Amino acid sequence: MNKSPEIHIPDISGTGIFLKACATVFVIYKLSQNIEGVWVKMFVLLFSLIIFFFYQKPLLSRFFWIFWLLYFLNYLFFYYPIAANHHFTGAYLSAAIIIFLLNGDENERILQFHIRFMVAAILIASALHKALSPTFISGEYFQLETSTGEFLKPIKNLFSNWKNAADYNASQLNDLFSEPPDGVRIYAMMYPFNGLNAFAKVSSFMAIFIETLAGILIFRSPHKKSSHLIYGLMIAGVFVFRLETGFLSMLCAMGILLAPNIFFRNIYLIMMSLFLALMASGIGLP
Amino acid sequence: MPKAIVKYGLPGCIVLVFAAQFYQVHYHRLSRWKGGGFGMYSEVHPKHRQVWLDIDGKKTNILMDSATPKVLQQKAFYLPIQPSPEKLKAFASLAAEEYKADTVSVQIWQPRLNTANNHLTMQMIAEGRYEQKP
Repeated sequence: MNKSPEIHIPDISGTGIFLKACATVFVIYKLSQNIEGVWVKMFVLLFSLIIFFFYQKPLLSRFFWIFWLLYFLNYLFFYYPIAANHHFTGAYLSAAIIIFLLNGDENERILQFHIRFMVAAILIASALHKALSPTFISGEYFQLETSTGEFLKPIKNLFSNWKNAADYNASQLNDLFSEPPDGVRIYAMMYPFNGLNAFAKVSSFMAIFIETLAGILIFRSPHKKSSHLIYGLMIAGVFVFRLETGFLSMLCAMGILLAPNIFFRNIYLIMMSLFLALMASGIGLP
Repeated sequence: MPKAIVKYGLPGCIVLVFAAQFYQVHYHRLSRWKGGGFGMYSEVHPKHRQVWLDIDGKKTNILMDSATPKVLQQKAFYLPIQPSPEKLKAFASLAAEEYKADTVSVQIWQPRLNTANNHLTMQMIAEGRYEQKP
């Protein structure tokens, strides 16, 4: 049972210094924000840093992953209604790696199965929620978020007209919130660009389509380059649209574990580094 | 440990969490954003929902009003996440007790966009009432 597993999964121990730096910056950033629960997060990150400094291969340390799993489970147990998708994904990922590190034979095959299943379940369930949400399928949600500048943030800042319209719309939303609601008062929003309505509808359908496709392809054909091309494009698309850096870092980590060759592994690694850096600095957080 | 448990235990847990969340979303009005990590960015975030208390025609945004009793604010925090009829009714009853009022209405509002003309308005998506029996 405790036989040390043979590691065929990619060795990314070279990222150790980067991860240490990210964790350190993240601790400082979180402390500066003075948000609730910051001390628990600081303790978790501090413990992780200690393991990173004292273990030769920290990512293969059971303590490291058991500690993270306990943190996520504790969060899910006490804060179930407010837990976000990265808390759940973090718990699944930690559990999958612990199972991998505890088992002897065939452990790599089981790890790959778990990762494939996780990717497929998360993406297909997400697509199902979107397809069943009336405000998403009608394009309303997409149009609202694009109008107020919450979506497409990296592109919005490149065009002054777009940015001005988004800033104006965001202030309209604040005005709407500041008054007692009556269901009658109307606030006219500006169009950040022409064809917003059609763009929102098409993007909504595309999001559902590409999430479903990526989930199915990664589960059925995890060794095909075309599957990873779609998966990688989906991650890049989600990043451009909604800057969801914490969750995307985890999708990239799963991509690294399933990558069919060194090229894709490096692409996932670069993307994950970018997302972690954005998350640690706070730039990529909502 | 049996191989089947090692292999299918974790996927089984994921399916159970999804089934529980899906049930809560469709039968108990849990926000798609919460409770399972599967439905983020598929509808307006609960933080954009507002909780208004209506006591004798006087409306109060209880999450923003510092004069609101702390016990109400703590309970109200979860209402935008899961505005189920049972939770709203229980909250209205608690508010009536706190404010010693005979009739209390608690309302959840969220922004709606008319996609045809990009006009924004607020819509009440759920309401719970408490009325003291005569």
